[in-house]
Amino acid sequence: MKPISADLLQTYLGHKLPQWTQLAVENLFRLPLGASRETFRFDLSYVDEQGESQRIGMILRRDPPASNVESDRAHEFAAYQAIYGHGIPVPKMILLEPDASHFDGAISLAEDLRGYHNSEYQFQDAAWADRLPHIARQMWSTMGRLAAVPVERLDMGFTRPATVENTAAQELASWVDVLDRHDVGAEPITRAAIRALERWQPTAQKLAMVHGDFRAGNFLYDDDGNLIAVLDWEMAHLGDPLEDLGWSLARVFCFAKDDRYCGLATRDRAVAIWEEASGLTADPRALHWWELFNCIKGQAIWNSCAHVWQSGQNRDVIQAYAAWWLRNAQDRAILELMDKL
Amino acid sequence: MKPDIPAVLEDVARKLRETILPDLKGFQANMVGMTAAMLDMTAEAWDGAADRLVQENTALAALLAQGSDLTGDAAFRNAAEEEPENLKISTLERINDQRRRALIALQARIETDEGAQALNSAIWDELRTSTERRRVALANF
Repeated sequence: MKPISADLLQTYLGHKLPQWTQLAVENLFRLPLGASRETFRFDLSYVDEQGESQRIGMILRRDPPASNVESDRAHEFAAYQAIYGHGIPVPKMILLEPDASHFDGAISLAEDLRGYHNSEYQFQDAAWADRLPHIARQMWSTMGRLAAVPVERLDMGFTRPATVENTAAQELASWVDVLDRHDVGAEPITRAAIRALERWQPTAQKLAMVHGDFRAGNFLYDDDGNLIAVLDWEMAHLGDPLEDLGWSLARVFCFAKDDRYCGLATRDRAVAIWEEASGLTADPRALHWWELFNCIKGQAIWNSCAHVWQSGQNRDVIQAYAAWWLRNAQDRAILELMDKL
Repeated sequence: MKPDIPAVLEDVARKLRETILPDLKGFQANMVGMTAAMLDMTAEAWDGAADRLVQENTALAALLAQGSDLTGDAAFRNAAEEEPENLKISTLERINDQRRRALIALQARIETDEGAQALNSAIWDELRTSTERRRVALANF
């Protein structure tokens, strides 16, 4: 792919934002965020329409030619815009460039909320131990509030329709299809879980905007552990709010390698916080279904990592690393959920 | 190869973490950190890889033979007929994949059959054992 340089970006923005003059791009820097997209940070200085000098921090995300997640800039951009202003803190979107010809991939620009943390591993530092209960409350109560947002008030035109009756079957079919198309080897444990999930699906209590990847590592927090913004909405969709809760209870995200999910709280504590904030009930059978479903989704993503690397479509180290690190752990998580471990 | 491959990989990984990584930041630091972790995973898997695959392939062949006896379908036994012409990891993995695919078909066929629960339990036992054999020390679970 074409390297993104300050000159290239400055020239592009000069054409795209003619109302601003003396544009300058500085401190362009690639961030280590996620496996699915390239993320860069830079400073943009300019003179605005009133003749005032301005300087803002920006985040640029670029779609690679192939990724472990089949989403795109337009989808994530629209998801951020849909939830912005509805009580869930997110960065403000600034610009979408769906034409891949400018940068060898579609890009989006957003405000850069600086001075915060987003590391899931930092939670395991002893210095953060006393703040973990607060961070857990912040994370799962934000997720609960997302579940409570009336979805009919949101512009969900960017995602496929769903009903309370069909969302579980629809999501399952979608991720099984991803797994089938990114086959890198037989997955007997995953296939057994798929067959179990196909025998029964829960009906959602309500439809909500599902983030799709709500876990430690995908939100910004300050020094006191306050959640500042929820990031990475590229898998957002209309669905059952239990899907997000189930994803956050994934064993592969137990970063402390113990029974604290997301390295933050026990399962019971996480569910209690979510129920209080959402006003919903996490029916045990339905939640179990979504936890097992999320193992299929995870395995589809980790297999996609291996597939895009193996096929030469994306040779980022993280694609190979994620597949090596996660595929067997995901199988162990399935065995545990199916009471076979 | 001497010095021993796992020892070399672990030492290179440690040097990457201790001498290169501290001088990097952002994406580059993350990439080198992951590379070091992958060297550790390779070191962990190296010595036992062929042994693990031979154990798994033997266990899978036995299950598939039982599946043929139970169902009367020779296809399951036939799927495990090929013997490796050598002990290269790539050869053993190819045969492993063939047999695991056949195991998926077998389990899908028998798992809801009351009369096949002993075989179904044996399949789950092997799947659990194979997961433990493949366990990665660095994994969260």
